[in-house]
Amino acid sequence: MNKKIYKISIIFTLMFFALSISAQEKNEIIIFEKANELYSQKEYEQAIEKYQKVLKNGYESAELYYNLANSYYRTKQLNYSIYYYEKAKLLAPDDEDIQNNSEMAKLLVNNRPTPIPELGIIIFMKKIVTARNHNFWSYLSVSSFIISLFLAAYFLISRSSTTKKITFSVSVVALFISALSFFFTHKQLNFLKAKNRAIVFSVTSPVNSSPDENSTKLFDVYEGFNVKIADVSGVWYKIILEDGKQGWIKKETLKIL
Amino acid sequence: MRKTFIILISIILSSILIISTLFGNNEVKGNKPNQNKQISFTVKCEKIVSTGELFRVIFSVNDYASGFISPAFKGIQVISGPNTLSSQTYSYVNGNTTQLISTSYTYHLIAEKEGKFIIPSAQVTVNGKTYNSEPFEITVVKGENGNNTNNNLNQNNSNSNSENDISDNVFIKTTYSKTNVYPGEFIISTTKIYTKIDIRNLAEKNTPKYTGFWIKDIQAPQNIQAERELLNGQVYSAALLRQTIIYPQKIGKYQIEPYELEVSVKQKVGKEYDIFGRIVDRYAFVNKPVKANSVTITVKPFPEKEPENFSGIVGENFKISASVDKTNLKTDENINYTLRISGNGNLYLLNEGGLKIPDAFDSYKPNVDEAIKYTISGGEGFKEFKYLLLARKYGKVKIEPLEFVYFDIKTNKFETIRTQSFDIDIEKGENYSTVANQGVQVINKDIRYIKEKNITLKQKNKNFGGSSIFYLSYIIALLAFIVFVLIRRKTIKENSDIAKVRNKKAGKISQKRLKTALNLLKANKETPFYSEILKSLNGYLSDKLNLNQNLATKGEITNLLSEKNVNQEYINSILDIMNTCEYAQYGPVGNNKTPESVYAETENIINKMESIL
Repeated sequence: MNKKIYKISIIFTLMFFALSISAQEKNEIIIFEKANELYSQKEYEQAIEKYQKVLKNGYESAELYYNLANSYYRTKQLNYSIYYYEKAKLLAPDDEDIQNNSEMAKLLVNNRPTPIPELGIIIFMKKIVTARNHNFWSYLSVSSFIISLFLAAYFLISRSSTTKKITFSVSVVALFISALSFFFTHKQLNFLKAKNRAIVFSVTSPVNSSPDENSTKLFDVYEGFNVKIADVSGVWYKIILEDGKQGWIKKETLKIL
Repeated sequence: MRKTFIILISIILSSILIISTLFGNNEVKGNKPNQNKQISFTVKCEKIVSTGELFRVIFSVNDYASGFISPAFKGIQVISGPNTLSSQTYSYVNGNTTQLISTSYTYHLIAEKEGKFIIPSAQVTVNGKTYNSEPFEITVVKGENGNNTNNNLNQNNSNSNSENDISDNVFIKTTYSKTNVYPGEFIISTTKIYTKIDIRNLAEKNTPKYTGFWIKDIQAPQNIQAERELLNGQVYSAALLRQTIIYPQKIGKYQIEPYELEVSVKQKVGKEYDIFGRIVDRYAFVNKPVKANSVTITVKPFPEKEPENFSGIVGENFKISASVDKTNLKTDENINYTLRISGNGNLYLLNEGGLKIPDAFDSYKPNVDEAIKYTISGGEGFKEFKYLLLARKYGKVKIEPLEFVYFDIKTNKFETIRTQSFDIDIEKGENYSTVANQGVQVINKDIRYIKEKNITLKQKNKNFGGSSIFYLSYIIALLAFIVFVLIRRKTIKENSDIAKVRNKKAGKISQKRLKTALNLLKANKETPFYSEILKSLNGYLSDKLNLNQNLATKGEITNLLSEKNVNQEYINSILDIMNTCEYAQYGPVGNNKTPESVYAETENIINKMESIL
C-alpha cells in the first residue's frame, strides 16, 4: 500500500516541475525589473517601452499589465491605461490594487455610461468565481481531486468504522470542491479567451444604427469606454455599452481585450 | 439835552463805521485770491484746419493784461485781429463770491498753403510781469472743394444736398490695439465716430457681443466731445464713443461684430416756399444707420507647453507677497494669512486655489479683495486673499511657499514667482482635546504604486487550467486510483481464498485437537488438557475469522464475533471457556467446572459456531 502513495506523490511533484521557471523567463524578469526601476525614476515613456518588450516576447502577468497601465496613466494615455488595467483584471480578478487604479482611470473617462445594475445572485456568483484567479482554481481542482482519491483509497483499506466514515465524507467533499473549482477555472478561461470585450481607443467616435457609413448616427462613444462585442460585419463591430445601448462601430476604433 | 445829542451822534457814527468796516472786509475777501492766483496765458485753436478755411486763434489771460505783443503768423493770412476783449464775471457759490477776470485777443486767420505751421508765442504783461504763451502747431490740409471762401456750414449743406449716401461723411471706426494675442492678453478696443456733417441724436443699435472674451468698459463718455482729427488726408470732427478693454479666453479666431449706430443727419427732403414766396430746399433730420468695420482677432496658443500649475494669468509686472499676523499661537487660536498678487493682467480670473494649508489648521474660504483699474495700458491692480487659519493641532508647522505661474507677455515665457514660507509654532491650548484628531485626511487621490515584489511572468496562453497537463493530472490520478483498487481487489481475493481453506479446515483441526485433549484427560494430564482445549478453540476461531493465530487475542475475537452478529450468549461462553482454560493452566480450577464439562462445552460451542460462521 505504501508503494502506491509513493507513486502518486511522484506524479504530483513531476507536475510542478513542468511548470517551473525556465531560463528565458528569467531574462524577461530582468527586463521587467528594469522597467520598474525606470518607473520609479518617473521615466514613464522608457518604462512603457520595456514593459512592451516583455509583452512582445510573449510573456505576460497581471503585475506586468498593471505596471504598464500605471505608466500609461502617468503619461495621460487614458485608452491604453484602461486597456491594460482590464487585461490585468482578467489575469488577477482578485487583486485589490488593480481594482482601485482601474476605477481611478475610469473616473477620467468622458461621459461614461452608468452600468446596468446586475442581479444580486449574479454579482454573488461573479464574486465567487473571481475571488481567485484561474491558476488558483485549476491547482485547487487538481489537488482536491487527488486528495479525494487518496481518501477514497484510505477508505478502502481502513478497518475501523469511524475512519471509514470520516474518510468517506471528506473524500466526497474534496471531490465536490474539485468539481466546483474545475467549473470556476473554465468560467475564467472562457472569459479570458472569449475576446468579446474591447476598449474604445479613438478620442470620440460615432456609433451607427447599421454597419453602413450613411446610416443614422445613434450616439458617440469616447476614449476608454468598455464595450461588449456582439456581432461582426465587414469592418464593423456591433457593440453593447455598459448601459445597454447598442450600435455599429468601425473596427479600427476599438482594441479587443 | 446836548449830552444826549452827542451820544446819539456818536452811536450813529460808530454804527456806520462798524457797518462800513464789515462791508469793507467783504470786499477785501473777494479780492484776496486775485493777488495769489496763478496767471495762465493759453492759446486755443483747432489743431487741424483746411486751406481756405476761416479759423480763429484766441490767446487768453485770466487777469487784466496789457502790452500784448502779437506773434508773427508766417504763411497764414490774418483777416482780422487782434480783437481785445476783457471780461469780468462774479459767481456766488455756497455764499462765496468769486471774481473771474479774463482778457482775450482773437485773430481770424486763413491758411493758404498745406503743411505744418507753428504759431509762435505771444507776450502779455500782467501786473508788471511778462508772460509768454506756448508755441502752437497747426496742420493745414487741402480743403474739400477748393472753394476757399465757403464756410463749414455751407459746405455741409452742399454735401447733404448732393447725395443721400452719407457713408463718406459719417462713419464709425473701431480700432484694436492688437489683433494677434495669447489667451488672457488684453486688447484695447476704441470706437470713434467721424463726421463732416452736422449730426445729432446718436442711438446705439448694436454693440459688439465679444463672445469668448471678457470685457470691461474703460470709457463711455456721457457727453460726446468732438475734436478735429485728420484721417486719410481729410478733416473730420471725431468723437470717442466707447473704449473697452477685452481679454480673450480661448484659442481661436474670432470675428468681432461691428458697432452700429443710428444718427440723425440733416438732409434735403423736398422744396418749400419761404415767407417771400420763393422756392427753397427743405431740410429735415433723417435717421441713418452707421456701421463700424468688423475685425478678426486671432488668439494664438502659447509658445511653450503650459506648466501644470499655470494659473491662467497673462500679463506683466507681477508681484506676489504673503504675510501672517503672528507665528506663535495656541490651539483654537487663529492666524490671518494674507496673500497678495499684483500686476498688470487678467487678474479678474485669479482664484484662491493653490495654497496648501497644513493639516494642523482648519481653514475657510478666503476673503477676496480686489482693486483693479482698467486703463488703456491694461488692468492694473492687485487681488488679495485673506485666509483665516484656525489651529487644531499643536506642533511646529510650516506653511509652504505658494507658487504663482503666469505667462509674461514681455518675455514671452512662463514665469514662476513664489511667496516665502512661514514657520508657525503652535502650542497646546487649554481646551485642546485629542478628539479634534480625525484620523488620516485624504489630501489628494492618486493611483497606487506599481508592483515590484513577487513579480511573475509566464508565457502567453500557457495556463495550467485547461492545459493538457491539467487534464492529464486528473487522468493520471484516476488511473493510479484504479490500479490501486485492482491490486487491492486481487489481494483480497487471494486472501479470501486462504480464509476459505482455513474456514473449511477449521472444524477438522479442532476435532483433532479435541481428540488429543480427550486422550490427555483420560491420561489425567489436566494442564496440557486445558492448554489443548484453549488451542483448539482459539485456533478454530482464528481460522474461521481469518486471524493470525498467534496474534488472536480475546479482544480481537470478541470484536470480530460481535461484528458478525454472533449471539452475546455464545461469546460469553467462549470467553468463559477461554478464561477457565487460562486459569487452569496455572492453578486449580476455582469454579465447579470439571474437565469433562469444559470438554463438552467446547465441543458444543464449536458445533454451534460451525453452523453460524
